[in-house]
Amino acid sequence: MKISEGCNHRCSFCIIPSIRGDLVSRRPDAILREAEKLIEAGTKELLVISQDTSAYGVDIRHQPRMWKGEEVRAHMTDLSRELGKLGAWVRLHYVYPYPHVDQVIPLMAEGLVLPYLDIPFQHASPKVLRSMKRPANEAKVLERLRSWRLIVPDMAVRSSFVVGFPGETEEDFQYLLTWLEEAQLDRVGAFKFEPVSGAAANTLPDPVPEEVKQERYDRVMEISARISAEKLAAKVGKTIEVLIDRVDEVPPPEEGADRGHFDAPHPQHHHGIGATGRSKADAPEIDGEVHLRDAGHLSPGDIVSVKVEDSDEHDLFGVPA
Amino acid sequence: METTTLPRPPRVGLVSLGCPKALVDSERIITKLRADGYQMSPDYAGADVVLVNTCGFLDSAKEESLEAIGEAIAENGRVVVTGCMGNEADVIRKRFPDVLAITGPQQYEEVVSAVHEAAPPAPSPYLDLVPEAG
Repeated sequence: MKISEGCNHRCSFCIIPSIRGDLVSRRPDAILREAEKLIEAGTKELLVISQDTSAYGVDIRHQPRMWKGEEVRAHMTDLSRELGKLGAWVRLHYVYPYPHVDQVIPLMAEGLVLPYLDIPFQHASPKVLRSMKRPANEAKVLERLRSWRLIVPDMAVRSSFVVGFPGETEEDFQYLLTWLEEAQLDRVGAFKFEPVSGAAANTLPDPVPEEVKQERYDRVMEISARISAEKLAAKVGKTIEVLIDRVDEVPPPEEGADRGHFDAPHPQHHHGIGATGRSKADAPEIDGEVHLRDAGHLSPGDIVSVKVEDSDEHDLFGVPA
Repeated sequence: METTTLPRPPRVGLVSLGCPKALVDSERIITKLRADGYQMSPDYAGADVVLVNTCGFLDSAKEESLEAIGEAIAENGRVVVTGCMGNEADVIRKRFPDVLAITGPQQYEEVVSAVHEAAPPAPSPYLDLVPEAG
């Protein structure tokens, strides 16, 4: 669900505002009507997207509209609450850490919004963030992450980072690594800085050599993979909710052989048939998955309790509870 | 008994590249085309026209977009380009002069009318609200 188009920021590495223009927000009632229709048609999960979800409504001065007999402001908090009331999973993407994001955290605690935040931090060093012209970069992010997790202990945070931004020194990079250890993010993506034609960052001094970018990229990914693996390992033995995306048609050969089911599966005979889904911590296609065994009785769209039996760097493995 | 066959609706293939924002654009374009009577084709061979929704962010993504356009030209030949790389029409034209039309991001009306031009729906007195003559 795209709630707005364009972006008012001018991050120095990004040309999207020149392609898609300044922020233009949709009316909240139009978004909610679309969401309601999607859910009536069977949608189980709403992915809220935009260029900058936290800025939603700034361009229309958060003007309220009537929805189900009440006024709903064109504001991230109001919209998230109303979307949550519709009953589907609501996942917020592209959230910048503005102060008012704090107001969304209680909605997660209430179960209206998934305990998940996709915040593209891009870096941690104040100097690099300034040079990137990132919004909300002075926010005390580590403190706020801690306070959010006090309210929502199982909150998953996904982020992305740029390494090798022009002028990034080894000291800046070390700052990022230390920050990552502290922040304990659940999911991290990293990009090696790449000049984009038309971007202001192209003319910044002190470009980082390719081999240094690669080395920094490898170090970020190594730390992130370890943190992700540790966080996933902590879920083993717990029971979590999983939204099923697909169910295998036949048992995987080696597993089927292990359990002695060589015959074509009977509909009632779901042992040995696997399924794949996602927990509340996993956005489709960008995060991990939950692989289920003995799940042939399930259908895509089912939300089921799953006992987690194993984990790796990205995924969980379990069985319907 | 005399039977009437409705005209076969034109079929559109769609290659959607880039971020979720671009994917929503593709979904909106599909909605409009379906409302106009088009059907979607899951392969190049069955498509009357192929729409490529491009990404124009990183140079590597632009290269991938150009490759996708090239593949669609080779496999089908009738290609309409839209999306973020549509802002660099000259780059696309230089490499693929045979592209039928190029539109930019969020230009839903432009891309839909480009598809209408590339693969016009056959007139049908049973379906059309207005006769062919207007």
